[in-house]
Amino acid sequence: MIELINITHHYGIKPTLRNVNLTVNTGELLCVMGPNGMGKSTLLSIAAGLFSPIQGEVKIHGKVRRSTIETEKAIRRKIVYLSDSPWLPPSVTGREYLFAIGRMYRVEEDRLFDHVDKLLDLFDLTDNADSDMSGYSTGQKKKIGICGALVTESPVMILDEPFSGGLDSSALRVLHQFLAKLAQRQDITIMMAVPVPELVEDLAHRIAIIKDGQIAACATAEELKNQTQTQTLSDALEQIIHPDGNKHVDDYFEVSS
Amino acid sequence: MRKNRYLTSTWQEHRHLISIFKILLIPYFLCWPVSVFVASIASENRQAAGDMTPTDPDAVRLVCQLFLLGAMTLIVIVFRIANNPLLSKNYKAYLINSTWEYGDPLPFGKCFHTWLDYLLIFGITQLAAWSTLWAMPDHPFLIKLQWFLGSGPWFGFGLGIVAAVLLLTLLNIVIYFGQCRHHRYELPVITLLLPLVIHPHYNVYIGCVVLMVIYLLCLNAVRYNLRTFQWLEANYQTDPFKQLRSQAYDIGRYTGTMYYLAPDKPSYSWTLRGKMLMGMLGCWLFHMTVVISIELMQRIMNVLAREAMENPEMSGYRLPSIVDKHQIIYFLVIPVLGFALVNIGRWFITCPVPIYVRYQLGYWWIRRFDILLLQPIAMVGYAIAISAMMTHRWISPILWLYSFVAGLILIYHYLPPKDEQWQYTWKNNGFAALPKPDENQVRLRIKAKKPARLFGT
Repeated sequence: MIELINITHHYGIKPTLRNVNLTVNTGELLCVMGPNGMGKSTLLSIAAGLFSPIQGEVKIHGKVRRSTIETEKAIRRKIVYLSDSPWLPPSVTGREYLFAIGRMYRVEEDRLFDHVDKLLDLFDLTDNADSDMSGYSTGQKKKIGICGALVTESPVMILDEPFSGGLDSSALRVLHQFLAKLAQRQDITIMMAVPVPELVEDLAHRIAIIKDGQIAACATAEELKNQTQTQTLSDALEQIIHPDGNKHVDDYFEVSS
Repeated sequence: MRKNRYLTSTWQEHRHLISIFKILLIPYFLCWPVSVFVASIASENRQAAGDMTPTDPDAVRLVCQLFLLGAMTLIVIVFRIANNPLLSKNYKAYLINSTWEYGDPLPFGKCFHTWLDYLLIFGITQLAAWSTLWAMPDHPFLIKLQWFLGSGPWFGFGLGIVAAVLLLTLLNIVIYFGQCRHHRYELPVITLLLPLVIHPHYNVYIGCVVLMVIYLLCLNAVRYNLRTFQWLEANYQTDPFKQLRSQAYDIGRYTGTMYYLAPDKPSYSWTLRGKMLMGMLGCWLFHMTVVISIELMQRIMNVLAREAMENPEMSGYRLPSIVDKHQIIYFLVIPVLGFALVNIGRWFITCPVPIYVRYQLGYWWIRRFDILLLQPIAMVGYAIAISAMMTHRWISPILWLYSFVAGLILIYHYLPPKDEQWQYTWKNNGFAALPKPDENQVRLRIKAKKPARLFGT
């Protein structure tokens, strides 16, 4: 379980997050959505422990992040964070990268070998698995980053925009199905930021919408549609984030004509 | 079985060592023009002996071999050192936020040399040494060169170790200064020991022993840095004000904004004792470099002179003159002048009252702005005065060296503007700095009064 309690964070003077309270239950897949620059990645980074918030605290399975070194070590072994643009050492092959991460997470080696082979095959990376990652395309880098998160077998996963970054349609479909399978499991907790509602409508147990650094809504897709009296999640999202969004477009074309 | 196939296989672990041979094509082509140049010099010497032509393929081949093998050695050495996470910002950040702890294997490769690396370095350097002997085995000039360098195999082994030690020392210095951990004993000890590899005994066996001691000290220092680096605690800030301050400081360092919210003194601000220690260690290295290079040149000249006297074939050989110690040491004045010029340029750019305005108004000295000039002028004056003393032989070159650096450090430390003055009262980042908040407000007000001009209207 991930608990974000009263999180406030600033970048310089500008408040990015203001008193955010959010809980992701064990076995739940929660999507964080919202306009660009509203603090989605900041929230995920704080949950992942990349930095501590100016106010508030993060708990993973009841343990407070960054409270003591031992606690932090124990939390880190249970959690994986996938950045939207993960750092990949250029002179290491994709296979070596996955092995290195698996070993850091102390995955049993026999299982690790099988898992790495399966992931490489699943994301169509087998042919490039033994080449240096400096030669990978943008999409391949994204794929290997995703494989790096999945190979850890962590029960808590924080994924920042896993669907973006040049993935091809096949990889999008595979990742979608993979996450759907994980969402069915009771022991895997996933928190991820996704900007496109269509990708997660049938995937997420709950959707949290961030607006102006605060949680504007947090409910299931159906509940959000009911609350906003709309037919699709995309419309519901638009209604919450930009209630007068269509008006602006109309204004623009009226002025232009 | 599968485990060996991927992870612990020696072949796989050294895959990069094999692939780096591709990179060797670059130094090979780069070294070609250099080698032709060196070969032409070598051929001049051999022409004096009467058995050479200016385009001697033997000489070109010899120099090419040496360059190529030297490049191979360096690449093998750098290959491991480059894996040190403290040298890569991204790798460091990755480890800080990962599950890695000191004692675990580094996820993307070892940062210390392994026995196979040493074997490879030894093999390459042996090849270099023996190919030198094989290329022109009976030429008198080369025989003397071999005498100067020591016996072939030991030269090969020594070359590899010297390169490894120098690079590890460099690594150490980078890490120490990067992490502000210069209170450890290794750096001064290594700096003091380094010249003793050659000077004053000029014995390859003693030199190797000293190198091994330095090498062990380096390894110890790098291990210490890896162990004590705050992998878990580096971002560990529970105090919100502390974090805000550090963020403000980081932002201010690069942009100048919010710098005034950071009340902490910059961590890289050294005490006078620290500056003096580093300055004197630098002097020691420079002093020893000059002494060793002059002594080596003298030894070579002595050998060649004796050869010219004994061997009638080398009777026409011209001995080059040895550079004077005084002339070498004068090169130190150049960076001081450069530093002073930069500061004067900084004054010229940042001072809001230009010279022609001063001329018109009669303001020849505005303390608040012109205080910047005090330090560079004092430095240049001191450099000129003490250099003149040495020119008149009132002080020895060695005394000049140490007192020159010590005096500059004292001027730098005591004369304004000090670090804190730069931080709090003056334009903190030199050229790119923003004005102080109150000045900024004044400028904004002035700007607001001006009529707006948009798109050139």
